[in-house]
Amino acid sequence: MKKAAIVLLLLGAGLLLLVAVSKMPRMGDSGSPDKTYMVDRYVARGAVEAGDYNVPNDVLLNYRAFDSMGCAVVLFTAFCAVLAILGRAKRGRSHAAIDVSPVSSGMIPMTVVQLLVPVTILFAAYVLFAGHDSFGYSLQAGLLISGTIILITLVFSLLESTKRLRTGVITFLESLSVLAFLVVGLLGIFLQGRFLSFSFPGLHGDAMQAVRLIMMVVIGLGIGIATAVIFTSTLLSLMREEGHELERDIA
Amino acid sequence: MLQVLNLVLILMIVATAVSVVLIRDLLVAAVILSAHGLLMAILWTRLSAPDLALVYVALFVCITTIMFVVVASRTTRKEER
Amino acid sequence: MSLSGTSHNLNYAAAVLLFLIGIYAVTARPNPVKKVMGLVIMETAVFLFLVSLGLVGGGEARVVTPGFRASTLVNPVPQVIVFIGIVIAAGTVALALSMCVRIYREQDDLDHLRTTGTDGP
Repeated sequence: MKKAAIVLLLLGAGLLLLVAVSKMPRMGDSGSPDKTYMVDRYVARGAVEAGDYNVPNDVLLNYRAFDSMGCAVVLFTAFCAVLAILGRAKRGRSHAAIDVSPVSSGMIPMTVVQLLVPVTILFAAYVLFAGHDSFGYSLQAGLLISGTIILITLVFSLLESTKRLRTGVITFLESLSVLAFLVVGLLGIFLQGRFLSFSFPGLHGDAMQAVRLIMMVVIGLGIGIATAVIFTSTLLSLMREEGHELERDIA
Repeated sequence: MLQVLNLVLILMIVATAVSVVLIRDLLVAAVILSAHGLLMAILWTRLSAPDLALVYVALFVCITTIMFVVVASRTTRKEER
Repeated sequence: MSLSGTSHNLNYAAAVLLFLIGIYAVTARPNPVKKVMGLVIMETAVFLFLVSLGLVGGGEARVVTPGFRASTLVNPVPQVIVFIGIVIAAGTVALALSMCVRIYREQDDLDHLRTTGTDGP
């Protein structure tokens, strides 16, 4: 009864939405409703003004850097809430991964993971720094590193994985994205009077471009490392279980 | 030819989404959700958004799939009718 | 009221369809994990709609090469909006799933959520 009512309501809403969709301008038309005058400026002068050949990357990190800071803050807040609900996987005190038994997997997954991990981390480092010229951004790199650590956790046990991560270092690294944005932004206020302005006063030409690039790399590194550590810690907190923890020494 | 590829991708995306909703085993639904994410990532590259494809693969195929699998193993595996 | 315009606005129609599938999963399924999966499908639909708004017919790569023409580049702003939206979607999923795990730890039953406490009537 409830499902039938929901399906009927959804069919009615769907019909209305499809009629609205059919009256929209044709897909691929240049007169689309979202083409404002700012888009022409971003596309035409983005490579010169913002210094990146990758146009969405310089919209993210230069024209709309404040929104990226909002993104980093939201991610950090969600992670704080996850830690408040679940608690942190303590170092050296957790049991094995998804199944309750402390036996880790067989030979083949362990060997394959040991061969794959350096390649994946190298690719993540490439993606981190390739955003200047080609596709790539710091967030993908952070996620790749986090996925690698989760892979190691799944194949070897959770105990091995948490033994190698110090709690103090992890706690500092999680807040690195917000810290990087704040440091670069306040530097912009002190030097030029505007938050997140990427330049020193009195510099022109190549020096200005170098300074801007350094600041964007700092922000990118902060976002990448923080994303990696945040998602790793979230998954480790999801994996841990109360009441089954083995008391073992860290050494 | 390439328009047909877009159409096929969209049909498969809708099909995987429907099967995620209708399947009662949560582990199977999590794996099908990751296939849905992979097809969406291919669609992003067809729509000239390769940054989005990278983020989508790294996030929805890798991280949230593992989250769903861990939660499905920690809580109930089959949902009720 | 005619639907003849949907054949060349195919991405928009697919986004609407996916959104409705997501709403069905959120409202008509009792399990919270299934509801979170429906939320992911809804977010996917919105991202597809937003990026399809920015397509330019015949538009190609949006990396600036030395001989480009500005009118053939795809609109980068919806991609930026969707990028941030993807990150926030992942944060939402993480938070929702952690709540599901915590509820299961307290109550041992996920489908029928009790509101009167674990030792009440």
